[in-house]
Amino acid sequence: MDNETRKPNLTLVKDAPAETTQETTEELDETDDVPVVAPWSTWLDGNRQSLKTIHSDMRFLVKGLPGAALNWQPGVSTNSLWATTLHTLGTTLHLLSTAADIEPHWQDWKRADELAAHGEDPALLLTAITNMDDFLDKVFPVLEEEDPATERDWLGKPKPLSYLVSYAVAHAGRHIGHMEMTRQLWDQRSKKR
Amino acid sequence: MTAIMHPYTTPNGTLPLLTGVLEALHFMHRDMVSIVQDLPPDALHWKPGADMGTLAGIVQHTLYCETYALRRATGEAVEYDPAADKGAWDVTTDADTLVAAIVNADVVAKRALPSLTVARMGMSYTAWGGGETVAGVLIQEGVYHTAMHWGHMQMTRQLWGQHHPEFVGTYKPW
Repeated sequence: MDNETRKPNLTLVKDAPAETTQETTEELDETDDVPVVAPWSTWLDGNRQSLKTIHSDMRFLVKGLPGAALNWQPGVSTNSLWATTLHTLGTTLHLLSTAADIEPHWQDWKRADELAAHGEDPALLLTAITNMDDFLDKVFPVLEEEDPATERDWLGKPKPLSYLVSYAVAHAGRHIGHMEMTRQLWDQRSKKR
Repeated sequence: MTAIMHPYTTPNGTLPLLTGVLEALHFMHRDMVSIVQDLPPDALHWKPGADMGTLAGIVQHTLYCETYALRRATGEAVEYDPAADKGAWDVTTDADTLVAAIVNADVVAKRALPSLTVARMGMSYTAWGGGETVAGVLIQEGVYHTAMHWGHMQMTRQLWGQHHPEFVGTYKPW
């Protein structure tokens, strides 16, 4: 979908059909024959897929944009698409590698550098996003071997793995919201000129 | 209830993998309250651009979907109403009403998620007026959707503030 056909960013989590279904209360007898699930593994896989969806959205938002658009900031103390992309990827990397107890740990995180970054070539951002997708495929199998209640040091405080993984999705999701608005405002601004 | 109690500790028996989700939602809900609580009506009903939402609309839509997803994930007989969700975008509610809605959504999350068991996480339910969705996926979708719109709320608040430098509020962008 190109920029011209892109929908407004504020959409439902699902496209809703015209009609809804009436539900009855669904009581579950714990002794019923329920699907066998490995909750931590299944949960992790859901988070991995959410992050990949976020990365796909990122690609859509930055692909083909000129440097002026990538480095434009919609207001004072806001961040450009370039900086937000690198910051979001960097945060995801450090949250998950810290959770998996592999390098790099949070102490190596260069948050200020990410947010100060600028560049001209969207292909570099696309490569960074692809590299993060590859990292996800490597780190999640490591996390599957861990206990969700295991705590790791994050910014000097003990945090359970389940928090670090959840926060990676919540953080990236929040910044996708910022990126969507930045892109939409850039498009509206550039049409007026 | 008029505030989100802080700090929050997940109840004993909560699945460890949902503890992180609850902590993330607690953090997001508290920040949402900070975003809207000190704003006048014109700020809550302002749009930063064409085809964008107001703070009031974003908050109401986000919480509508979040509470629906989490209640449905527990098997509650709650029905998704597209008209009500669509109408949420056009609300002209004040800050007190929005804060109450956020607090209510926080109560729903903290009631729903600790009640889930491993078996219930794997149950499937019809959702969004369509096909079946696994409870764990409903939670996943709900949290991601909330996080994305939380980003919209933050930026909308920040941009409104820059259009109104005379306004001195209590929210600090971060």
